[in-house]
Amino acid sequence: MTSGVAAQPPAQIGRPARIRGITIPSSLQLQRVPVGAVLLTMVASGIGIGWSILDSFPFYGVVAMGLLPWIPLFFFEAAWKYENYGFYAILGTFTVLQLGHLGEHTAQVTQLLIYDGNLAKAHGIFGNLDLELVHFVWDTGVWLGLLLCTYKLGFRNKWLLVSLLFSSLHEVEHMFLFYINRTNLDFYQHGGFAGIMGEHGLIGSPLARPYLHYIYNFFVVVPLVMAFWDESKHAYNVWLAKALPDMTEQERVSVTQQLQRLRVQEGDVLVQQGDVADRFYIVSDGEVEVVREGSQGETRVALLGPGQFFGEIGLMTAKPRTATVRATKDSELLTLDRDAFLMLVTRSQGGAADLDAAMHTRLAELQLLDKQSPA
Amino acid sequence: MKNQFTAKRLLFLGALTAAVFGFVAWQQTTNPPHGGVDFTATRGQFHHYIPHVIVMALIVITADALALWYGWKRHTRQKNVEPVTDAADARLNPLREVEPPAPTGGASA
Repeated sequence: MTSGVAAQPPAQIGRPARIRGITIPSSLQLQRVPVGAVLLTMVASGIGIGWSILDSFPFYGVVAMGLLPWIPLFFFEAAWKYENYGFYAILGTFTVLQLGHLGEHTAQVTQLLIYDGNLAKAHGIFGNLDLELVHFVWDTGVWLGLLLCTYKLGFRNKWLLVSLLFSSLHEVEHMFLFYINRTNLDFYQHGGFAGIMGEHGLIGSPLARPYLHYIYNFFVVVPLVMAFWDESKHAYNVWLAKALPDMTEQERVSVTQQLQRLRVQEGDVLVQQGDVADRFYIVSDGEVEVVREGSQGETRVALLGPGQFFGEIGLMTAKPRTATVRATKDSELLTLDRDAFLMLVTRSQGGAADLDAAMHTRLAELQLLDKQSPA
Repeated sequence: MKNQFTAKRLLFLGALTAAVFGFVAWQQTTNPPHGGVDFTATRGQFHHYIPHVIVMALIVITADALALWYGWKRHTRQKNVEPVTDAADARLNPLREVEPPAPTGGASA
């Protein structure tokens, strides 16, 4: 075990960005993936595209080679967001996948425009997947996903209900198409593929199948994007909520915007006994130990894991640190600087109560420890 | 959460919908999709599947109703959280950038 002091400054993860007058919520920004990794991925993606063009790949191959390097990066960031924002990250992943799906339908409609309505040449970018089975599985997944979103968020975020309505209509259509495709292929191939609402279909409409399904997807995806945007402005860190459970939702959202992320290695010292208190910490991954230094050496006071916090005593009492805190594993912490912490204490009744209770318990434990092992 | 169906958003969505429908209508009229498929299915063949479609619709409606019912129950359980207000946010987060309030109109003539 090494014993270096954590040298890396905490990374700002909470501050919303402002681009051309639009405030971009912090949860929509890259918070875990370093900028260097993004640049590297861009280079890899460019090389993939260039190589596939030089090697005469079909168009879908070129697109796939361009997209592939982004997949691990996307899921790495999404996994971190899931650990820190919970269900919001699932909604985000779902929204991104659905944007891709709408992109595929947009490509098909564009191909129809280019090839004067020739359906044989208009199957989207990944045309090999233009199968009833694939449509059915994907759209059933979308519908089930929206049912889950409705259960979790639907009555506080009503755009999800709009999306669910159109997804449900779409689902009945695909159930029908998949059913006749499997049970009566001859009928399917000679007109059944129009489905329920397609031109010449069971009920029918002026819209031919590709346009009808483009419209279905449009009305599923656009409200979903709006719902996700709204959720982004109200996402809060789940570790903060676990550490200080009595804060209101709005307080959690506001404090989340001031959080910073700090990664430390095993053995790094986060807080040194006797130092001036300048920061509050919440463990979000890994483990730290709290040790009290005395004349007889160190005594371990506590082991803290995800959702537990430290550093509040020095900030609330304006006294030097009462113990040393050291990482026992590679860990990640969320931190608030002094100003943000004091703002929390003075403005959040619930948060202050949680901190006060923890501080008194810990001070009593330290007093007891000091009595048991006098210097 | 504040009103999500604001006039600005509905206007944006309306304009986008009009653009999409306009494009589709234009394409459907000028380049109707065709692909060498014989459309020989009769109305009777379609009508044969009406009961199947009704069952499919009932499955979807039932699942939707269950999600809405349990979603509503979950929502009412969590209703004791503080409503999101600009004032509450601004009180706690001084760094937050707030759009200035819209100017009130003057007296009309």
